[in-house]
Amino acid sequence: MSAPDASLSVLETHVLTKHYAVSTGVFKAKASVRALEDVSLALAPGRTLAVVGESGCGKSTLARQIAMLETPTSGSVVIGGVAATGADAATRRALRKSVQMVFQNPFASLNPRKKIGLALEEPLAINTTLSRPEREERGRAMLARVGLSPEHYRRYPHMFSGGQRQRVAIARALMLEPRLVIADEPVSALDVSIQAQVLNLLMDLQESTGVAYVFISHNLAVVELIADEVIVMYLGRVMERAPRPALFAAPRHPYTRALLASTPRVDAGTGTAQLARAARSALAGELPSPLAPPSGCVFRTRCPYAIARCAEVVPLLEPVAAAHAAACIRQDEIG
Amino acid sequence: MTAPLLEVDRLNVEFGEPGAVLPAASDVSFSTDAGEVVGIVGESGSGKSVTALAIMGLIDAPGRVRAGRLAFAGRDLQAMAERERRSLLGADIAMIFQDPMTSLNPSFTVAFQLMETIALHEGGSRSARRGRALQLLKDVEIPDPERRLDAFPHQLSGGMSQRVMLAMAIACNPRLLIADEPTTALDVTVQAQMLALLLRLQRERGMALVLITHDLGVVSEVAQRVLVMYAGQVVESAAADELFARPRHPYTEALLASLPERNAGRRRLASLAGVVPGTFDRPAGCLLSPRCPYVRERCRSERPPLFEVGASRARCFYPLGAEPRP
Repeated sequence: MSAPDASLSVLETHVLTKHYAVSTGVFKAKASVRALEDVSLALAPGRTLAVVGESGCGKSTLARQIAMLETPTSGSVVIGGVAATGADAATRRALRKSVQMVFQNPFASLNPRKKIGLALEEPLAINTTLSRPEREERGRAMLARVGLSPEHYRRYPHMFSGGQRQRVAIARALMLEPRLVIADEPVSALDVSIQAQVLNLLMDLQESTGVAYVFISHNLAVVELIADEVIVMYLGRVMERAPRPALFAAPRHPYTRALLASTPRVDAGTGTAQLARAARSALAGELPSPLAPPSGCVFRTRCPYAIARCAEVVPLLEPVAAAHAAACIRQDEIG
Repeated sequence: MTAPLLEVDRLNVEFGEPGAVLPAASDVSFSTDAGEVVGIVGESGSGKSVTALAIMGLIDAPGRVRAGRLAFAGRDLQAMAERERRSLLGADIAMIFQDPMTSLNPSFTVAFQLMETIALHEGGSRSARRGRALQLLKDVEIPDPERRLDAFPHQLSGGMSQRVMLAMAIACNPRLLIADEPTTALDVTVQAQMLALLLRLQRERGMALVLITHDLGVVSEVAQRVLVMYAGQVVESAAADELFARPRHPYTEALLASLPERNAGRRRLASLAGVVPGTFDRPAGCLLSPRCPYVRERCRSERPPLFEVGASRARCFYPLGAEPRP
């Protein structure tokens, strides 16, 4: 992770926490879901931070806090050196321009009744004083940059395939020249050959515009390709934080290792190899209820290395090497 | 018994009106022996699910199914009376689907739904069926099975629902299990558990398993033989090791090359330009010709059949690493 220097970071979060109150029944008291707990991170311009984890790990909650769609329970979000949490409405509106999102499902994220051109121009109409011809000019230029042709400008979303729609969604996110794009599972809904095209596009655009990505994904193979830094989350907490090469070469946290071992890979061998590997990763059970997370380390109920003390202490992120930290009290023993 | 357990020969599935026919699956042929795991891979719209549904007899009008031969354990499925065919389903041939959350009836308990299956095919007293249901839940490694029996589907996680679906599918000891994207909706650690479970059951029971997936990683770790489908056609069929080591069809090669894990250290992914052709923009020649990096004149005008290429079969005039076909 880059040095947490405010002048350099496009994004910082400080002990960011989000709890949701949920109803457990008509006459019962509201329970609290700890969706995000003490997440601190920093991201430099032009870099990609991948957030990895399974469903319920808090990765989308984190995205919503960063995009200022929700107000965190505690902690703060700082965008380009300006505090977003607790800022006044004008500041927040100004900041929103520099943070944009791309969502997972391109079939749901485009308005079916709006032509592509209009969808691209809308952010400009709302946030800038550009005239109509100027907006159209920018829209058409952006369409070309994401690899679509000019005739697509007057078409409706239903006339596009999933991969093309995701290109439109990316184009729309980039219309305001944001410094940060939050991409929430942007290629999960796409077929593998289309996924490759969209990943290449994201990387090309980063190179030419210097935009930073928060790239949310459950797919470690994709993360290994695109990320500069990675944080691994489980039940709302950061389990491990590392530069990409270190995370894949020397994962420290048992959960990271289990994730890596569980990811099917083409070159991993067949049949018995798979069984042996699955047994090795040995992640028993499923995610505990976020309403009643385990005491101590939240991962301990599925961890092959758990000991009695894991139930008592909440492990802190301990530095392992430069920019590499893991939250496990036994990380030195298990090597 | 020498006949394969499942024979599919030149299976065609079509939708749409005459004049605007969408061939969802064209001339799909394969067979499966008892105890074998066959993987069918392809992207969306490649016809892999439609092939499975046609084998199950679940394609309703206006869809049309034609096949040279469709046989299970030597019995012709097409010649058989509807009633007889239905009695095979669930008993000898079972299927599980991608989305466990929508495959279970939300209004009934797990025990009810399992016991219903058992009652239909095997009968037995209520308590005997409940005992069988409990045993099935244990077989699919559901934690705390006694309590889960009386749970409703909404009280189960995705992984647990998929285990219940699997319990239901194996309730009558099927000889063939068709699994359509069984792990796609699951998280990766749960997916690993589920695949290990599927393989264990398949081995213990000597079932044939047809695994349909878009995930080449899953196929490479599970299947012995693989069919690769593109736009409704089988473009390559081979033993799994052979397919991943020596892809013969340009599409298979491109699929493998576009996997992020095969691009470690490279700055960009190898990717196939363009998209799968739709109903009305099918090329006259090879269906891959508009996207194929090796395309030649002949590919644009003539549709290739499946050729024997080494130990594999590939639908290409110019298979990779082999002589051009006449």
